[in-house]
Amino acid sequence: MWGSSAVSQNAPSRITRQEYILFGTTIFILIALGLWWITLMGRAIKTEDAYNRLQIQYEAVVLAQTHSNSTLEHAYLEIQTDSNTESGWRTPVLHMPDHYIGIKKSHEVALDKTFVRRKFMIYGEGVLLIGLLGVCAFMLLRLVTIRKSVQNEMEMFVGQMTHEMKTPLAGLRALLQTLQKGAIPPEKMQKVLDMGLQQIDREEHLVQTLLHAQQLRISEKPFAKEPFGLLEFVSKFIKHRISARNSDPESYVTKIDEMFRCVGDQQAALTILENIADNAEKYGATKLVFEALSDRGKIKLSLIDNGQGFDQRTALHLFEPYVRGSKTDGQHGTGLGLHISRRLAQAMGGDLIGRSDGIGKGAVFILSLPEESL
Amino acid sequence: MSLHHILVVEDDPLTATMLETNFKFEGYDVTLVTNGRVAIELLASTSYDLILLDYMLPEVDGQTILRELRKSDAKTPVMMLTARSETPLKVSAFAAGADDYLSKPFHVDELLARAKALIRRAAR
Repeated sequence: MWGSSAVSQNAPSRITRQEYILFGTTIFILIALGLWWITLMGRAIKTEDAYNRLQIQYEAVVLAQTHSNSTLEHAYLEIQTDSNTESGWRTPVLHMPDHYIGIKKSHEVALDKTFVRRKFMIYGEGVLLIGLLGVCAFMLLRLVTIRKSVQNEMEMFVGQMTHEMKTPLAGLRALLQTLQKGAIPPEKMQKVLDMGLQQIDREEHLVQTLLHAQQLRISEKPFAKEPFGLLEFVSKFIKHRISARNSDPESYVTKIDEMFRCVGDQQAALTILENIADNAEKYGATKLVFEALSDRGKIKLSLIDNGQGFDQRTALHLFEPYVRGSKTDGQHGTGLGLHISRRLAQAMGGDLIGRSDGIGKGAVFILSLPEESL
Repeated sequence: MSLHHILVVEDDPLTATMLETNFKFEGYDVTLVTNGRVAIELLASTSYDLILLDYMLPEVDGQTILRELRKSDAKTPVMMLTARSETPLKVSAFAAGADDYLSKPFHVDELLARAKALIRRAAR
């Protein structure tokens, strides 16, 4: 159980780091947008206020002009920078001789294109700000979605693992308790002991797969790159399968050149073969053919079965975690075997692909590994 | 006294064999089924004194079998056997009509005691 525990404890931490980054970025953007919004509103208020004041002042000037029956011919307009404002706000100012209307100081005038342009700028910034707020909302939504998806995935993982690890244990426990009671008839003894050993082998394979999954996650311990003979390796695998799983020796066929040599981690390669063979068995295969060829520096090992196969829809998601083939409701399996197998193959510099001509037409899985260079 | 007839629906070969062995050792008549669809077919034609039902089964899961059974038979005691021990799952199994729920790995003696209790209650 510790294998399962190690994975389930480590799995969320990676996600949490990603979530931290996403959440931190979103909060930072929101704070920046908030400050921007305050500045923007300040500017808008100032512009509006200045505009209104200048409008009133202009009207006052026109009124004064009317009353004094004079003209503003000596008035002139200049653009001056207000040094009191941080933004260096450029303010149009109307200078007029004092005697015209009796106003002794300069008057700001708003009827200038600068203000109109400024207002457009503010509107533009406002639209951009709303757009960025939309992006933030999307990011937060995505964050929630990721969290929910991770939670669902973890629940599924724990559920599947619990089931996959506890079921063989239940059988073994029941076997030992039944043995203790002396309830097993002598004629059935050998059969149930064989079943117990097969159960232990399945449990061992499950633990090994989980350990490899953990190794892939932490990436601190790279996989070995040792050369090994493919025919000898596959023969050992078949021999183990026949003895540990009580498989029919006739169900395995090898067509492998004894000269083919691969480079990789044999234990990881064994896990891949076990997963493929387990899948084939689960989906009704009675025969598994091993064929190999050498292709551009890679040894391609094909595992051809006569089982149920899969349709095009399943093929698209075959190596995704928790994807199960059709017609497997309630079937045993973690839903991680092929996913981990492909990642193991890729970690060794190879790959794993699967294909089928459709339901009822069997499946072919091709494991490619680097060929030993001579 | 006629033998009590128990239907065991369990797809794990070792667990199924051990359940069969123990019930037979205790004097029960046992029918063993490893597939959900076959279990539904059997339940449509045969009645049992107790049904032991695994949750995860090929083709049709245990809870679906239970719901199907309860449409026509509300009395036959059903004990769910599963490695899943989450409370929502247990609640859902009882809501579907289960009479008892035992998480794997279980103690054989406890399972036998529960089975006997269920049969005894149903016979009243």
